[in-house]
Amino acid sequence: MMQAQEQLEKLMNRVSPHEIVRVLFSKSAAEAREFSRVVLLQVYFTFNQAIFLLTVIAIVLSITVSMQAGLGLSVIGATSRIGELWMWMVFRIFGPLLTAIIIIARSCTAVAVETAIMKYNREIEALELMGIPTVDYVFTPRIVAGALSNFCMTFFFMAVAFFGTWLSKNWFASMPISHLYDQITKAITFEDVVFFILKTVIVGAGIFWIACKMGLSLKRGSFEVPIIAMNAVVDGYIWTFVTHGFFTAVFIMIHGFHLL
Amino acid sequence: MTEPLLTFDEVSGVTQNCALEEDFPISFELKPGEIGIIRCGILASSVTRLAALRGIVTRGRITILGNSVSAADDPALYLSPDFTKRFIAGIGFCQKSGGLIANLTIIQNVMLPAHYHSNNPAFGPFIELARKRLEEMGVPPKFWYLRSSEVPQEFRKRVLFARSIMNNPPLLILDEPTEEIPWSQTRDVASWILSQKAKGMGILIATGNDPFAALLGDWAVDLCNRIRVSTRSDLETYFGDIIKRSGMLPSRPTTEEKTYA
Repeated sequence: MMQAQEQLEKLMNRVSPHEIVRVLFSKSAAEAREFSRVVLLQVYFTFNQAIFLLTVIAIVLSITVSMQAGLGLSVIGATSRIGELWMWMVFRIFGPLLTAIIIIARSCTAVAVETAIMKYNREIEALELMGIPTVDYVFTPRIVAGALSNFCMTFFFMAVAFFGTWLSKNWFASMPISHLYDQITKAITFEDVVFFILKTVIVGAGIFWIACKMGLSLKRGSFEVPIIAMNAVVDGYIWTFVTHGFFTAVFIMIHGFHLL
Repeated sequence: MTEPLLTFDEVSGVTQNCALEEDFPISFELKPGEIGIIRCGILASSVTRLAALRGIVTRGRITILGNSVSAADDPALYLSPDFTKRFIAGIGFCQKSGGLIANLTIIQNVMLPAHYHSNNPAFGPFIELARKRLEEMGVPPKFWYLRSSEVPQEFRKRVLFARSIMNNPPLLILDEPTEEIPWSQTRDVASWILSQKAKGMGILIATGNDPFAALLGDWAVDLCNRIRVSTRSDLETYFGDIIKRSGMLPSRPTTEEKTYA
């Protein structure tokens, strides 16, 4: 009986990747409507409500990086390469990383707690008893929204950081915005764009998958909710940093170790 | 002879509530237009979950609306999302407590199963149907566009009843239908259940409310005392005895009698 109980827990709490893929590609019109409703709502909470915070952090980061970079580059007489440096530091590293950290701090905790409370209040059970699999209605829309939100938020971050960099450069010495734009567009490669899309989508989806999984792990009572939130955040950070590390390693392998 | 809607054939199993006892496997048949009673707290709740295939069958066979699941079948198949969608849409289920989706309004909660399982993406027809069901259950319109946390407890249960019959299911499963209902409204709940029975629904009720069970049931399985009661007249006698032995009606308990302390 104990074995059967454990098997039941495992089967009822699964959020497996192949089921997520199935949900994405097989839906009736009504299911698609409910699915898109949940996705849009989650994107609103994750992206729209974080715009102010993103803007502040992007501006502060871009100003800080461009000032520090300006100091360093002036020592070696390479102040004209600020665009490249922006691309290496902000576009490849800090932008995606900081955006993911904001998502973890805000949305990962929120989704983990919401899912845990849904389980505690028997809403998860209610959905299953209505013949609505929770992987269809609760988890996959949130995972898709996470991927979409992280991509959009990181793109927004880049746009604001670009203006922040230009503002700080322009404050001390006139620099036309088109000049900075040209430098950056020359520095960005096709691989950068591909990696940007892959990184943001995979990290965003992974963060929300972790949040949903953690939320479902509630077993005994509401006192577990803070523990679940904490575990979701920690696992989210590990996922983010490991994934970024992985993509960096792949990028370096593509471009050759001789550049290091 | 009408085919039974639900058959338990020497069944034991486990659900997320608890495990059913292996040495008292459960057998019954529920036909259209019948009310079956399962008595005994958390075990009865587990039977309702097993009837909706939200558990693992470890012994025997369950046949629901023509679909058969036995202990030999792989649980991963009948607990899969595909099976859940195809199969459970044909069952109406009313939980004991909780169960309303917190971030949806009352009317969205009620229309959700009907809309989700239809092929119609439009909300309009389902909102109309949900309004009708809520009116039938006596839920005032002022609550329809509120979230469940803003609605009084007694109306939340009525919303659960309304939602359970949105798809006009042939089989209705009610887990403790009188829980969280004021005693004065118990008769209304009984009358609603009998009206669903009159429509030809088969109704399985898990309840510890013995007078309520005595009012409604056509047969009963008592998991506490391990007794099966097969006819209406036997059921009235059986529950009548239980109520008499409890000493609650009609006399008031005295302070000299045994208490929980």
